[in-house]
Amino acid sequence: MEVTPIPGGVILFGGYLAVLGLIPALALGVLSPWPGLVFWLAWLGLTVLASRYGMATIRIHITEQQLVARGGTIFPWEVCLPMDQGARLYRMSTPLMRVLGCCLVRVTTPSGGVWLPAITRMDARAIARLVGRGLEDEA
Amino acid sequence: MKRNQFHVFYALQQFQERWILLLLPLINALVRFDLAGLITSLIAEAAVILILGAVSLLIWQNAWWHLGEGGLTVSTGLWWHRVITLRPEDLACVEVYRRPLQRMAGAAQVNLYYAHQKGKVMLYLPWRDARPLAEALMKGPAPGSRVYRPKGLDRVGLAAVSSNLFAGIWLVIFTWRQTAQVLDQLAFVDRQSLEQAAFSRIETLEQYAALFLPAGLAWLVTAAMLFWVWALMGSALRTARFSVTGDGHQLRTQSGILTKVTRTVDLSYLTAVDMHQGPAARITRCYPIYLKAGSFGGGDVPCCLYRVGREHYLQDLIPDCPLWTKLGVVPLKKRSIPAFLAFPGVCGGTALVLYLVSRWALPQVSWILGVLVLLCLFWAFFQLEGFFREGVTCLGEDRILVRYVKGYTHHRVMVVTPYAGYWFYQTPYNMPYGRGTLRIRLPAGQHLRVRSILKEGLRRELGKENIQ
Repeated sequence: MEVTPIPGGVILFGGYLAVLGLIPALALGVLSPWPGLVFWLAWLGLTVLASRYGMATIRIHITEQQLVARGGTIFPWEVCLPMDQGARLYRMSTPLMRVLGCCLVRVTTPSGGVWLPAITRMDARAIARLVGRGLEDEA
Repeated sequence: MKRNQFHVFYALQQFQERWILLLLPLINALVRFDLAGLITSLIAEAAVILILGAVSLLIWQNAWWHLGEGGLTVSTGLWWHRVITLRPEDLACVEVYRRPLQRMAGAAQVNLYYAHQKGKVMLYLPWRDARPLAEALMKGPAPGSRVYRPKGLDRVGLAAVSSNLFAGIWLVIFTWRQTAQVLDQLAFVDRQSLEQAAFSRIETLEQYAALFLPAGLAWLVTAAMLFWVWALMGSALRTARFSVTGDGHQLRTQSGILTKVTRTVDLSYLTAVDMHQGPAARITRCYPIYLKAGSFGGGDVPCCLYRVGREHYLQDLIPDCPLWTKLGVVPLKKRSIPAFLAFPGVCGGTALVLYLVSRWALPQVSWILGVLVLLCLFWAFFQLEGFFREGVTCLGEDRILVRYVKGYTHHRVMVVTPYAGYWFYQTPYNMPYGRGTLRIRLPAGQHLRVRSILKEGLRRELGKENIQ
């Protein structure tokens, strides 16, 4: 099955990353406000760009035997993981994610793991059914 | 159910794991540099040692193991009990370590490596229990299997270790002479004039740098060499009395004089076979081979040695693993030379510039920089070999031969598991040419890196089942 992240994921992750960047920016801002602001704006620009392109380009193809994920615009990458008996599926979601009806799934196998970002909960359940494993909630 | 106790070494290991707590009482006194406070802290330190010792003994008392029909059950923990049940079929490798101190105390360390997941279980047992337990969990090769012991030319590797020892001793003597020269010159230097010169005349400072730097650099190189010699001596002791036996299903190695290691690997969980072709191995034409099975990553001692023309030896021990297959040069179309030579080139270039500058500024350090230039040159030479030979070749179903160069070592790795993960990365520079870097991750956590490989060629080689 083919899985693509939901469009709202861009706003969602951009927002989360912006808040995350606010913590070191505030710490820096206590010492000197301008560098703090510059740091936060730079962080915001980079993370929004990264999440925008990351989300827009990622494509996940998953079968019972293997998972292939492709993404990236500046740095294209491709991951191919065999879904062997050691594979596990973790689902993470926050209240806002639940409101938007999406979640974050991490697939781990003994030979590595990949994040499946901002996919619908229906897709997550379908992946779990496809590979014959339950979803383990992590958050 | 009979609950067997661990050896008291387990308590020592628990104590060792919590050593950081020993620093806590001392921090305050050391930060304030308070001698009176330090004595009070030492009393607190003694109390912490006693408490930690008591807790470690309690943990040891509560831990137990049992070998029954369902497999091995291990229970650890004081407040939270952690019970693990291991069946023989869950294990890829069983290792028994006997270090000198453990041998004196009649103990052994048993490492059990998982077959289907990462990690291992470490047990400290009395030697009388450790051996039967290891035998019960992994019986080892069938009786009557041929035993191989390296002889004659295969032992030349050990001679190489001795020559490095001589090199180390020679370097110490040389460094000592260099330092003695500096000390002799210092005897004629007035300390006050040194201080004045340090603040007034930069030229004099340069002269002092020229005086001290050679000895300092020489000692630095000697320290590095001594560490190297120490590591090589350790390796010589570990590989002494090496023997290997296998029946095609299991492989058992025994080695060591001071620390004795017995390692049994189940070949049905084999993930990769790695042949290291380092400089010393190329000179002796005797290549060490490391096995990776389940979560077992190869260990510190090779499982066997391969010599050109003695393929049957490897075939007996590890069937269907033609590591010696001649493959020649990989397709060089669109391959990037900077991907291989950039790093050694930059390092070598910097060393060369420094060497040339030192020829007129500081002739005393030229020889060290010359050695550095030579090392970089060799490094570039090995990387150039990677340019011609790095690649991935499919040799049949679930048999992939990966060749790559890391540092001065050329690796030939036969990946024999269908459960390897493939990660392909591209950069803006190599994207227009359709090439990139491939990382193959093995279930035990190791990864192999093949640089500047064409994506289309890779797909053709591996087939659609591996990379789409």
